[in-house]
Amino acid sequence: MVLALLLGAGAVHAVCGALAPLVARAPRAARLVGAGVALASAVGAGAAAWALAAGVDPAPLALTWPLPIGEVAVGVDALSASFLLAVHVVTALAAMSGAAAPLVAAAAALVFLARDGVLLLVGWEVVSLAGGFRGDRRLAGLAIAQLGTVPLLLGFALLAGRSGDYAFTSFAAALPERGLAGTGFVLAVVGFGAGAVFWLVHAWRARGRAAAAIAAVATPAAIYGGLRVVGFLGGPPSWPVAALAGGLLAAAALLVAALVSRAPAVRLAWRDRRAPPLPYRAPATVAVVAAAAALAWILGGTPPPAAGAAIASWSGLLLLALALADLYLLAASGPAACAGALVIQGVALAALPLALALGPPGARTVATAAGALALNAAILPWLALRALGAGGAPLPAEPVGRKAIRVLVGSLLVALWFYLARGLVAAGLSAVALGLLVLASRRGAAVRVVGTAMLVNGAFPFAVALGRGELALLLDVLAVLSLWGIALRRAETSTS
Amino acid sequence: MTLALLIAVPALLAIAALPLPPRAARSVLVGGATLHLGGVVALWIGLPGRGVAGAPLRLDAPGHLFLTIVSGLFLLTAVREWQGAPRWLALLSALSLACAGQDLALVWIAVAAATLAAAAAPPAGAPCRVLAAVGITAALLGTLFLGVAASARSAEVSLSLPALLDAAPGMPGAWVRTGFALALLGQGIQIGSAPAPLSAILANGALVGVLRSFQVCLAAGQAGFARGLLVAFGFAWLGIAIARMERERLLACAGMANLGAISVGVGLGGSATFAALLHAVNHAVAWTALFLADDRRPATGRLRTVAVLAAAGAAPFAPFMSQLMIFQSAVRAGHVALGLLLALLLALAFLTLARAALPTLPGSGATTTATATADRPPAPPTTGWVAPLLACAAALALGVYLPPALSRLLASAAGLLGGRR
Repeated sequence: MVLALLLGAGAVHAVCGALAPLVARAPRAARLVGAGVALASAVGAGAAAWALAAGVDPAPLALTWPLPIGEVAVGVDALSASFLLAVHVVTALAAMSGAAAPLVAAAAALVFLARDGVLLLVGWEVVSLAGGFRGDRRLAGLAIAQLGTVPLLLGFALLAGRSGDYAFTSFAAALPERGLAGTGFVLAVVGFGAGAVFWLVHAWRARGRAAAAIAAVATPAAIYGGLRVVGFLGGPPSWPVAALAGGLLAAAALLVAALVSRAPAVRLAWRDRRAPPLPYRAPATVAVVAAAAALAWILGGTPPPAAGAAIASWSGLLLLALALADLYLLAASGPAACAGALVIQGVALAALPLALALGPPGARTVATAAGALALNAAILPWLALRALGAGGAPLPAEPVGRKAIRVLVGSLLVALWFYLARGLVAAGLSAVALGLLVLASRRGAAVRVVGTAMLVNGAFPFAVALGRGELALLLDVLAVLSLWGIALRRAETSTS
Repeated sequence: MTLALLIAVPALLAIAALPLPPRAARSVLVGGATLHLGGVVALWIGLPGRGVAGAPLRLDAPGHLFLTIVSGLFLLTAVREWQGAPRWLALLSALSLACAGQDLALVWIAVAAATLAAAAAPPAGAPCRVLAAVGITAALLGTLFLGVAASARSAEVSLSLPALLDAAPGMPGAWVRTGFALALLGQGIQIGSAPAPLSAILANGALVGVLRSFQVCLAAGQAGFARGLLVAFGFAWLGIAIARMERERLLACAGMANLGAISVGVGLGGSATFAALLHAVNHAVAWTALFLADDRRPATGRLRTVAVLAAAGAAPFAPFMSQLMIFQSAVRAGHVALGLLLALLLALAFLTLARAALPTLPGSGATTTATATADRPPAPPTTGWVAPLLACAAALALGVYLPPALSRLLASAAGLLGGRR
């Protein structure tokens, strides 16, 4: 019953998406119907979550598929239901304001309910393609969507090669109980992690509300995929606790930002059907994810973490975010994009000492994290934004080929460092190398601020590895002091 | 009997259409194509007349599969064709012969005739015809080399497929290898020489010729060489399609990219063969959708986007599933690097196709095509939105459902080509 309800909601979304072009001439009616369907789905997902909380255990459903690959296997658990509910609520809100994306919602529902690798891949491919289509740079969006699926395809194929089929239960059984979990597993986690980072940045930069709504659906879908794959390792992961904390932080940031400054701007944007202003989007997306995770925690009643594997996977994801943001900075051209990537780096760095702490973090660890959050995630990006011109003038246009070569060289450097070294040291070295690459290859004094910030961020993992995080904070302060002049001078010259 | 009619009726209609005015000739073309498809469907339902073992005309599993693809593609593309009805009907007759022929000489003649009919179509110039001639020559040399290889044991030279398969175990390897390489090269050049809508139909017929030579190679114990060559050719085709993808060559390049995927799949063997044959079916459906929706009218704009996605291999359309199956078979067989290369090239092909086809994407030259339409020849008749919509729906349906009869035919064809389900 629960499963049928959720599947029905997804199917109705898909039908609405398919019929949408036909009713394009009656926008008001289409909007009403879209909002109604989205609201009904949200209510349905809520009912399903409630039933799960009440102890109903829906049996998974498996149909034989005539294709000799994969099977139609769906199921629902606390994790699926929570993400479904969060995404349906977001879709309903978006649909009420006229930015419905029913096909994406349906595909995301497929991602959340799938219990088979092929089904999950199909859903994820549709989500990412739709997002790529909606973005303001469609070709780049499509390219990232397509190439980003390749590690997932390879990872799942490797897992299936070992387990015999694509069923999640077989995947879980095929992975060894402890030790390294296989290349396929790592590739799948990396693929979804990269997707999550990409969509988070996309949410930050999206122009237009439809694109923002899709990013708000795609980010949870990517994070869910990563969590589901990590779940193959067995044992309850520690993510709900951290996600809850992160979500509360993000929601608080959202609230403060809305209260302090530009509430009228938000209202204006909402009325004119533009994307909400910059500071609101990414925190909102994070809040959606965190709410879903927290709900899953409450519904599933997972016990506290069993340290080891979970912690290792957390810090690995953080280092991955650091490296991906570095690569993104090699090609990014807008001031907001650069600053956004630096913020993501800073947040990842701040979370690093907490993720590495065994047991409850001590006062020193918390202080280091707080300092990093203030310096690396707030002040340095702000300085970069100032230096680049907060007005939004993009960096001098460059031929696409040069960008591509730079990103390729950067990827090779990252791969080289991770081949030569491990963990924190490799992440630090690659971040330093990419910072130097930015300094050497990009023109303009303003870019130096970004490059220096990348160098400083690269030093942080080293210090954490040595247990001396406060040294990194000292370096941050020195960097801020030295960059202050450049940033302010730039701002003055641009205003005069 | 049915088989002979499938070959003879289009040929007779082609002759009959020669003196007719264009409008009447077009009716003959559509009528002939409908009749042909009706005959093929009758064969599926169980009408006798597929030929007996040993006869020069016999419809085995690969022949039946590709005859169906050719017939369906032909009807749906012929609906939009105004000019050259006799040429089109001749092509249909020749390709039916290529699919049904059990004699390599017959298959060569049929494919050569089809190539000449296609390369004489209006947009193709003198270079295309030269290319076609080179391809035909290379294919003939390949066929003859296989004959020479067969003559090593017995004095009597026969190019019939059963005889070649019987004689294969004792054939000298060098002749077989050279023969297969030349046949593959020749058929590839022939496909490349034809202009867009015809090339997709021709490709399926020429593929039958390649697969026949491949069968001989397998029986002669040259499986490793032939498979490697097919995989290399497949990647080459994919690469060429990616490099040459442009708005004006969209249909031809989309076909070429998918031909590359099919070739790689057959070359990999095992379950990839089944997946590759399924991909041939899926791609034919998706390509038809792209062709039918490609009429530059705003009304079919959204439909065209969907068709582009289907033809490029986006989920959840059928080509995505079959490409995934080829990739999965490669990885499972231990060819991880080949699988990765295939996945990357397919992703690139997707991107170049999307860039070339969707006018709203940057760099697709939408403005230049808009100005160039003024001095273009009159557009072909449009087919409305029902036909492309149905084709898109079929591409979607094949992605989630495989009819049991088709599955059996694919499995048996894959079995003949050294693969399995």
